[in-house]
Amino acid sequence: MTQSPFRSRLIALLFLSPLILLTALFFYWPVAEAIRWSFFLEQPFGGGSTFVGLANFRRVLSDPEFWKSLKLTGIFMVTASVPAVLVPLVLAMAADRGLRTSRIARNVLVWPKGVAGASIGVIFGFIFNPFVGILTPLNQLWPGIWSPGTDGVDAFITLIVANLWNGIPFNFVILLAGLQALPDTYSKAAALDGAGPWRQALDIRLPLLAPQLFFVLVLEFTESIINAFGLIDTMTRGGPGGATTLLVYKIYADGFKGYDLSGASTQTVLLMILVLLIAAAQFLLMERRVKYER
Amino acid sequence: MTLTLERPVTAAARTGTDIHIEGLEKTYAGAQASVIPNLTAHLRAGEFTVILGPSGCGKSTLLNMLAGLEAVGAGRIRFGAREVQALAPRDRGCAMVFQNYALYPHMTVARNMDYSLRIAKVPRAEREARVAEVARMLELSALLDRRPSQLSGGQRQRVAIGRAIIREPQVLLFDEPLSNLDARLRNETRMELAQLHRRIGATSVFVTHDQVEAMTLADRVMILNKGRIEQFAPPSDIYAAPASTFVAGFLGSPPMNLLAVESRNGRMALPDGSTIGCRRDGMFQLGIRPEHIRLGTGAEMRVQFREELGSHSVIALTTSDGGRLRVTAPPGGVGDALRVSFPQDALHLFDAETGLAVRELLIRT
Repeated sequence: MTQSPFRSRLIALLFLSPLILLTALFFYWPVAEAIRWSFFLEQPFGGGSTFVGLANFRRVLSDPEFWKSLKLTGIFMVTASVPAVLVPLVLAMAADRGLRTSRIARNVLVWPKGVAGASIGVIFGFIFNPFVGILTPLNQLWPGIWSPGTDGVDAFITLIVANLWNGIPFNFVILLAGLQALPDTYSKAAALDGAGPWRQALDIRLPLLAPQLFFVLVLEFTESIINAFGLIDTMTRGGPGGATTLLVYKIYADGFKGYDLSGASTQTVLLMILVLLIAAAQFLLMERRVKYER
Repeated sequence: MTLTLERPVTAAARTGTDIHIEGLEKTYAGAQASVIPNLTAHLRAGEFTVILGPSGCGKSTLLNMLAGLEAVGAGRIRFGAREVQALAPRDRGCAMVFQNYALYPHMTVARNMDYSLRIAKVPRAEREARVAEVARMLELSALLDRRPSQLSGGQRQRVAIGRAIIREPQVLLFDEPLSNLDARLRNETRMELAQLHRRIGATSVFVTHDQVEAMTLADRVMILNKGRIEQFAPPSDIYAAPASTFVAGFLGSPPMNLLAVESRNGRMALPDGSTIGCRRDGMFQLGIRPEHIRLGTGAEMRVQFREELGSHSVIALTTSDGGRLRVTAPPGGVGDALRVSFPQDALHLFDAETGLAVRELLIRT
């Protein structure tokens, strides 16, 4: 560590205090509460709680609904994250090569970042509406083939597409920045070694982009678990028949509709553990492979 | 590193090819002047050409156009009988050593070297044989499994050279490959490069702004100034008879003295007090190398300052008209003034207007 620029630690703390306060108030305190509640039986409208030990965990873990939503969460994590990384990767590589219209694309592709998850959900709710949306012609040809209101798979697809649209800007920016940070002498050397554009992309640029790819993949995995809430709440409300009730939505439904505060808290704790495990596993399995020194 | 191999890189090593550059032109979009206005040259097969010039003279642009990394504005480039200016880099058969080595950081030394062979779908056994041979030649055999980040600057340089020569290219291009090395290593690598070139026989084009590299490595030096060839000749010729004041002032350490002189009625008065006959009257630039000036006789000049270099010293003198004259002298102290005279056969003469050599106008006695 270098010498602190502040004469007193108090001054440094003073500058940090707004952020510390916000993080404590909106993250650490709720987390602490959730962990505490997961060991208590809470009254829905306040007024007394009883310590029950691990009874909440036993109840949640023996509930088939919990396992179903956990499975759905896992499926969504993979099917939503992979395209949300691959599509921006292809776009970023195209933009980096300076292909036609890439200047415009570079701007346009960033705009969705300014749209909140709930707004995206509302918009895609319209777009995928079976009666007025863009897929309506399909239903005229084959009645009932597109019906996210009644078909669980269709509902799931709308979520994946909306999540992809939501994920493009950030991942695109990170991957494009990574590509543009690569010195162009690598491409020149590869060109002289006889590699055409495709081989250069696959053999040189893609491996050198591994750190950024790893970064967006880790973020996308955790984001898809947690940030899907806004999309689900506005588009499918967990339906049809629980087909899109991911764990994050189940927690909300159990807690605020079913008034099962203890059960919701317990699932929150389990969800946090899951996210931690996934991120840790990604780091353990992949981090050493993606690192290289220039 | 010593090169102990008795035979060429491989038994099938080819020799280089002639490079014909005809009317080559390059202007960058938005720029007013051409980087290279109109360049024509013939680099002979197997020759080691050094392109020398100050930064911005167009030497790297020229090299990139030879490699196919930059589009040609106009004109033709031929490798032997093949016209290559419209071909992609991979179809030209050149290899290049880059200034910052440009080794692929995610590949081992062996992979870096055989990447081009893999692309060319060379069978595995031959690939391995060639990697082993080049590695042995460049003393990289123990390092084949390392990554570039685990190598020293000199080792990286050798891998870059190995990557270039493993394909036995007809044309070998070097873009200031020694400028990232420290002085001692640069000296060693320079000598090794010269030996390597003799062994491989590829037509080599080496871009640098370092005149020592140019003098020691080149069969012929192409001196570029603002995209034009000032002189294209063997190093000794360039030293002995620079074609212009630009070349005279660029090559040599310290560079040639250039002094304004005037010729009247067929005689020219020289700063050392002597005169010499001249076939034309008018203003000229007189050139004389610091190491050719004779000390102890002639006009007395005041000493401005002295640089002691160990083996010799460089002394700056003030001429009678206030100009500066550099002379080299044996090491050791000197007084406040020195007597100097110019041997006639060491004199160079340049036209004051064009800067071109007009040595033939001098009437030496």
